[in-house]
Amino acid sequence: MTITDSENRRAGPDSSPHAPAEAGTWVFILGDLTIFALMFGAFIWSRADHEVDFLAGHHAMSRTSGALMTLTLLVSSLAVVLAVERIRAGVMRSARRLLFLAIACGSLFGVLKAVEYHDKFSHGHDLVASQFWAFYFGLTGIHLAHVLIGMIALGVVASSTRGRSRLAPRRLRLVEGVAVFWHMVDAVWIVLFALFYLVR
Amino acid sequence: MNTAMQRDRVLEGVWLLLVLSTVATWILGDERLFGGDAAVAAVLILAISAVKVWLIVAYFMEVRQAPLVLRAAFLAYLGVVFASLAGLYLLR
Repeated sequence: MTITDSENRRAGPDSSPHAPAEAGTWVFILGDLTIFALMFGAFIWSRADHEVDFLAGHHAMSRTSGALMTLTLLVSSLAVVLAVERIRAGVMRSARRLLFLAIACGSLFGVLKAVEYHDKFSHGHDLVASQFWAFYFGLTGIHLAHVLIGMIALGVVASSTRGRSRLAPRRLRLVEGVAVFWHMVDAVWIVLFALFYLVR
Repeated sequence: MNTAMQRDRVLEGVWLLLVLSTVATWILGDERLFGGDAAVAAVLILAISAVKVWLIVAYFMEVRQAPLVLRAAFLAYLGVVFASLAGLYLLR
């Protein structure tokens, strides 16, 4: 398939079904999401057995800081989805600016998370304080690792657009794979935000 | 307006919806709501979160335009995950 061909397929609303990225990326994404789903389930399952600990844990969470973290990831996701559009259109400078914005938002998320971890530790909420805190550090820690990996991948994507006006189809699919990964990280956070910061 | 600009507008619209629903769930997290009935708030928060995840999957991950098998896989995933979470929350 040529680039023009794939551009045309994406252009119309009623064009034939087409998924971005390589098929293997979707297998990985669905696998990763399944592991997260099992952890979400374990958290809610455990809640019934440790109701007092979980209520105390929820009370110690700031839903405003959770919402701010959500917003930083939402801004980064919009930047990434627009960057992919720019890369497909060959507008690389604009794409790179959007990718840097996304990386900056990812960094801000990391800073907010570090501040939150420090706050929790200073109040004696560590990994072994209770079942709630074990889940909190475990799940948000694994998620944060995904954010860091995603930021590195976005940086690689940004540098791969240097000196090129078009990406070869294979390279474009890799870029789309990184973007899909980044959106998955955003989607997982939305569930974590609900489970740890909002649902009591 | 060309199609690329139209696509940008759609994506920005979806993003705005995501931000507004984040604010909505933030409000629902207030424990004074529903006379302190946490279950009503919890189910609403989970339902809105499910829609948010679908918006990201459909529009940002472009699953909306993907072959049926991928769309079905994600819809099944969301259905099972959020129904299980709400079910475990309410019943256990």
